[in-house]
Amino acid sequence: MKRVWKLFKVLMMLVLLYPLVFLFTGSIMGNAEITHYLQGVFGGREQWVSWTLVPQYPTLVSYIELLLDIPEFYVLFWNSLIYVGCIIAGQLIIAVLAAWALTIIRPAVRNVILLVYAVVLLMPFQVRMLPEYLVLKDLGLLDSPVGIILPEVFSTLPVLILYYSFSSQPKTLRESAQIDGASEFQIFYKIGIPVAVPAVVTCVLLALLEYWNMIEQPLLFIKDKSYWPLTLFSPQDSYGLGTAFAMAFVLTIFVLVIFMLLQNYFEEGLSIISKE
Amino acid sequence: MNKKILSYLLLVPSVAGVTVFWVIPFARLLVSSFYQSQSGSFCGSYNYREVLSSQSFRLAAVNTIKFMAFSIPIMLAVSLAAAVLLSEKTFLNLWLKEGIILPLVLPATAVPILCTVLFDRNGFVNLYLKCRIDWINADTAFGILLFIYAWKYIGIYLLIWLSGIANVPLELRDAAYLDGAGRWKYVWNILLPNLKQVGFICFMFLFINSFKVFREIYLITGNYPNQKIYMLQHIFNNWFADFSMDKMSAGAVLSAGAILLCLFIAYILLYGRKIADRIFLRSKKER
Repeated sequence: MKRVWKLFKVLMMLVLLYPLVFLFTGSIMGNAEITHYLQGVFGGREQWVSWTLVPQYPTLVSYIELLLDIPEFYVLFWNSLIYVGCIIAGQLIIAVLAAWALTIIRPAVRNVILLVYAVVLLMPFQVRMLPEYLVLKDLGLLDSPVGIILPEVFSTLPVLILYYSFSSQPKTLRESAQIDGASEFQIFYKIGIPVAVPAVVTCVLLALLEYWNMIEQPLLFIKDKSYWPLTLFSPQDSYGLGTAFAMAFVLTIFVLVIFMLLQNYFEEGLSIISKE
Repeated sequence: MNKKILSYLLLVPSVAGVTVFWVIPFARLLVSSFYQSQSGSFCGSYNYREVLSSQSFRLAAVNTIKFMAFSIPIMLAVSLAAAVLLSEKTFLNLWLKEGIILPLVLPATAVPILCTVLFDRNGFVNLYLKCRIDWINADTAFGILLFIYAWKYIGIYLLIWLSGIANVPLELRDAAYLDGAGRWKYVWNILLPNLKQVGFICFMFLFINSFKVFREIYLITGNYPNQKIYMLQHIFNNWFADFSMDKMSAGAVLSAGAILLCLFIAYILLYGRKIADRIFLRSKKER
């Protein structure tokens, strides 16, 4: 029974990891071979799809093409990085300060702010769309990257996560630091921040997953395609399937490495949220 | 005293930003939903009636609610089951966890490729089932979408459940086993009741994120999906393209109201008893 269970788990894992293997084999095939296998689904021919895990002519040509011949890739990759980087940096600065302040101020005021923030957090994009559009229009930020970044910087999720992390720290820790003569800034910098690292990482990863895959906002608010993020770019239409597979594989590995590096902190941070 | 003032100053950027980008615009939205944007005249519930009587809004609302009604319980149950099964940190379990997380980090380009290869008329699913169904553009679209969405995002809920399980003290488990409880009894009577809070958090995330299924639909089918997967975000995009501000504002207020009502009910169902007890106790004390 135990063996069967183990076998099932191994099989399950193979199934789960198969997409990655699939993308990788596709990326080292070269356009001609991959088109041969997939012309039934992408080429419009009436023919069954087929696949092999061992390419007949392994080649890195798709990667070379992706890195050297597709100017959009760099522009849009860079756009995506800027969007994600600016949003995360802005969110953290604002949220860390606000969350720290929330632990100090009067409970009555705090509860009102927390309630408003929670309600804001719950609103899906379809509700935010028109109000956000009107504000951006008033501020003259339509069709500009700032218009995408700025509203998200004030997202309330990181404030709530960091607040719960700060308030779950034992009060005695702060009090003893106070007795030892630490200033408020020292307490914040030397005790608050280090203990909140898992929560900060949780905010970073949640934001990364969210804004790396952002579609709705740029689609509606940005007409100039040179400002679009990578999510709205599909190379298979103009550059062939091989490069699409190569791009997908490179991007997967890129995010996967970040994710795996931070995963331990992330799980710790999640456990703080789930305690509250 | 100084400290108090400083702490309010620290709050200023966040509160100001939220006020400018969310609170004031929402208030404006609420007011404008009762006015005609063209003439600027008050029209009562006209916009609301217009929205509610629109065929496509009804279709989108039904689809969205249906999607939530299926995706939330299924994903809650599956991710919880996976978390319970993978809670022991063996080598195989850790790798399985990574496997379940993997789709989370797949880039936007990969999803439509994988989906087409599997579910196209000439795709692998049809090859093995020996049929020629265009899964994504037929009535099956809803089920396929549900599958893709669950596969892509289940990892995050698995991680949340796992972190919750890690917080349940191990002494409880040992005590239960000592008392002769089997594994199932332990899970059912001790582990699950301790995970109520985590469950609510998962539910909240699932609720908020279920609207974002638009992304997958957009990536796979573009702007014109099958009727079965025509969601609220689509109709809002259409209104946006036509500049139907009246409908948009009324529709947005309706959605916001429905969401708040839903979560309020969920919250009361979960914590209502506790709150009632507390109020009851307080009134007793005052007497």
